Amino acid sequence: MFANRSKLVLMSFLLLLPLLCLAGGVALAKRYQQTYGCYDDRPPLRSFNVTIDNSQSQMLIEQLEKFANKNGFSYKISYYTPNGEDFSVWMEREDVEVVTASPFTRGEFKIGFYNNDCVDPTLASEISGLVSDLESFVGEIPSVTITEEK
Amino acid sequence: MGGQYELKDGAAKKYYSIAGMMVAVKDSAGAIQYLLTDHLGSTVAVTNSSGTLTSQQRYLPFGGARTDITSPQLPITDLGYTGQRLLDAGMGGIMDYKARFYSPYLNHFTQPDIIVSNPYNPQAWNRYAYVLNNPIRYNDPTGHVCSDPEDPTPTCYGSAGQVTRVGNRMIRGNGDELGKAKNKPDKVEQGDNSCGQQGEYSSRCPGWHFYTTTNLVCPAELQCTEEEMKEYFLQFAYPGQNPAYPVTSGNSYVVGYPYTNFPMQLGWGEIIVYVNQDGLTSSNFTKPPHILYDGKVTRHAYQAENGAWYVSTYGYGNNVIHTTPVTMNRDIQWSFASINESQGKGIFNDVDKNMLAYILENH
Repeated sequence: MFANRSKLVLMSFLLLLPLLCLAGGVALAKRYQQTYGCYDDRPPLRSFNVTIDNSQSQMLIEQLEKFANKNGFSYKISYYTPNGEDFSVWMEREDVEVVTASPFTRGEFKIGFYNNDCVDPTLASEISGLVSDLESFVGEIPSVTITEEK
Repeated sequence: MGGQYELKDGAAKKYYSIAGMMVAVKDSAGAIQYLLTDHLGSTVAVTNSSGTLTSQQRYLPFGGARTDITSPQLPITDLGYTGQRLLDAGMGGIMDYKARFYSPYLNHFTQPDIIVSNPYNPQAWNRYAYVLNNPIRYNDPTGHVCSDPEDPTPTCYGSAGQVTRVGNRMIRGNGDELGKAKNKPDKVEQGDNSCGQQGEYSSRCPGWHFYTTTNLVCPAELQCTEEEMKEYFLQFAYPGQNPAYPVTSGNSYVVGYPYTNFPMQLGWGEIIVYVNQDGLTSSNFTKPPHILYDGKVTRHAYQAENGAWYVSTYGYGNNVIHTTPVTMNRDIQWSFASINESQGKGIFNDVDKNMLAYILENH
């Protein structure tokens, strides 16, 4: 009697196991999709071209850091040349990510605002305040030009 | 004043040189003839001892012989373009540049340079290229590095940024050794992310890496046009990219496992790809979640004179891991740089290999 019951439980478990695995896999995939699914091929919500004189690199870095501190972004900078002229700045908080990089010409930077929330995506209309704030910080650099990419 | 003997077909010649430049030659009959050169050291005329022009030669920019000079061409010496020796006709018209052979027909060396002499100059990325593709101004006396005859600095890059090989190490002009820390400290303190900050460059930071590679992506016989190459270029901008989805400049992408065509097998992290207005140059920036952050990769597609297309890739960065609260040991950072330096080239070789395969199949 006892042996039969054990067998029944074991059989039920073995039958249910694939279903449980499938359910777990689907849940994990859903979770992955929610967490990371929006990251591939992510266009900027808004992006800007910023041109400064090479001698003003340090000033740009300082202004970006001030912007990050004021708006609660974590802030990381990477240098690609020993003189510090070629660098990128990465700023992140839960909803938005801001990347500044000089891909081709020294003194010419691209600043992009990206959605950073796959579950509740940030919209371009929700970052106008951040954009104006960044424009005003970067705009303090003498003779800087800022143009928005359409 | 020095010189050298040459024995050819049983006839001996003696060359006379001053300051490393051949100025005269005495033939087997004992007659001395004087070699006149241009600004690159190319032998352009020969006179006898009384100053009478006995033969002359002129050269195309990359060293081919001009055929519009009708007077007798240089019979007395095979030291021609930039003063280097033209090998026998049976050798296909190649020239002996000491460390390497050069082909005036291909306008390239037939062997690659052992290093990229100056990684800050994209013209130096192609290790087969001759004198930064500027043969009017520069020459290459040793086959190792181009030089400017009008400039006293030893190379055409000047002293800044020059990379020289010392034994099996590569040293920058500022004394830094490429790919290595000068003084490798023991540990990074908890939360210390100063490495990578301005003034804390490669001498302190252990993660500096660089690599470069150039690959054929469209053979000449396929006759790929520039417009076609622009499309292909966007389809193979980063490792693991699905060619069905060309990149858009400024977008952020998740990098896939690079060694297969199947993308997204293994998320290595994110990058942002920018494409230049010319459509043939791109820059990829790794973002902090990327395992090889930080790094910048610039790719450039160009067409050789025979019509084939190549892509040069140049990757560099500091491989600083800022991740907190995990304390990163400098040895670990350093090893990431080594991985980046050793694998980066292979990763992009595979991207280019996939690009070539795709073009061969779809063009």
